[in-house]
Amino acid sequence: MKKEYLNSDLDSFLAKWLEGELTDQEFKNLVNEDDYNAFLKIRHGLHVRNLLDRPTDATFSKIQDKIQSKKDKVRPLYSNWAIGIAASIALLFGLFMFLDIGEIIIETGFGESKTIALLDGSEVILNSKTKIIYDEDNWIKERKLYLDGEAYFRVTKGEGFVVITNNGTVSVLGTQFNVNSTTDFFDVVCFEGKVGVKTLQSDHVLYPTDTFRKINGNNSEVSKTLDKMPAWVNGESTFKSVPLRYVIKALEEQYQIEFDDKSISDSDIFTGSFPHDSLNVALKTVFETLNIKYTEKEKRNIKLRYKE
Amino acid sequence: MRLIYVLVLMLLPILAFSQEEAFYIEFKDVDLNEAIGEIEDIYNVLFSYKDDYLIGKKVTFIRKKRTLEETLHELESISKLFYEVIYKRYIIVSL
Repeated sequence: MKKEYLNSDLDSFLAKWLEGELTDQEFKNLVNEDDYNAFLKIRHGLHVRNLLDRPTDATFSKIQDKIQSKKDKVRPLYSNWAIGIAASIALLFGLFMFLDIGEIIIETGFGESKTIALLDGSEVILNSKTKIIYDEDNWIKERKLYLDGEAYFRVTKGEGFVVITNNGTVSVLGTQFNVNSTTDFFDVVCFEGKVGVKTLQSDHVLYPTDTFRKINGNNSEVSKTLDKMPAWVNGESTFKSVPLRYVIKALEEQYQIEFDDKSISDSDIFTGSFPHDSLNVALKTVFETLNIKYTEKEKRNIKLRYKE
Repeated sequence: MRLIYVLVLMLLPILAFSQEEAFYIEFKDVDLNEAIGEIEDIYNVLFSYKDDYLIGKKVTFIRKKRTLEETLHELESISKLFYEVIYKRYIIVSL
């Protein structure tokens, strides 16, 4: 039997049934069977939709929770780095402030020379490939510097002036002198005043024109020079009875070149000069007299061999 | 900078002049390396040589005026070495 009712009544029954205020049986009694079956399917559909909706929301929530938790893990890591860097900067700044580091390092490159005015009015001229290190903050109290290479000093009168090298120490009182100290070559020339030279093996006092030299660990010797100042200050390198390999090294440092000198004897002793402004003339002045042929193998690499 | 140019221009003729000018030179049986040192100072030149070349060689010059060229010529005949002037003030000594 088909039941007849108004739409408003149906809506009311339907709402109450879906809300659970009417049991299935009560609702079945109020509507016809076809409608009831249709409503059952709709309610089932709604139930399934709710079930489908629920896990989606949960998954979304879980993903959000995971993102949130990941963000929470990254944040402290970043913060630690930032704190670390800030702390390091603060520490270094503090060290500089408290330790008062005033170390000055001055270097020259190939073929370069530099004139440095020191705080006490003294002057140092550095030849090519030379390095000096000194403490600017303590300079007035202690005039002391480290030298690797060759430098000419014009020292103002004062408490003392010490040049420390790997080969020995040079100490003076207001004077002019030249120090050339490389790995196994140590040469000190006094041009004015008095210079003390101290090595592991001996102590010497040099007066004007005196030259102290120690080569390759051999016994040191003191000789005289006629020069008024080192020639390199005026753009020339001068050597007096020097093993050729030191002259070759000086050429390399002056002109930024390399020599293939495997076939050259280490016993050749050279006296002479080369200019700093012409490689061709420099090569000729050094090697022509020694009967050595020089040929450019590749750019800035020169092969040396004795002429036939 | 202009001052440096002026000084250089003033010095150039002096340097050139010192080599062309004749100077009194006198050596009495002195070592060749010693004589070369004197010649360097007088004519404002620089010699390059292998030390071995000069060993045992002595020089005697009677006193008279000589230019650099004349001095080197005389030195050549005494020492049996060759003297080549390059770049105006470098003198290469060879066998």
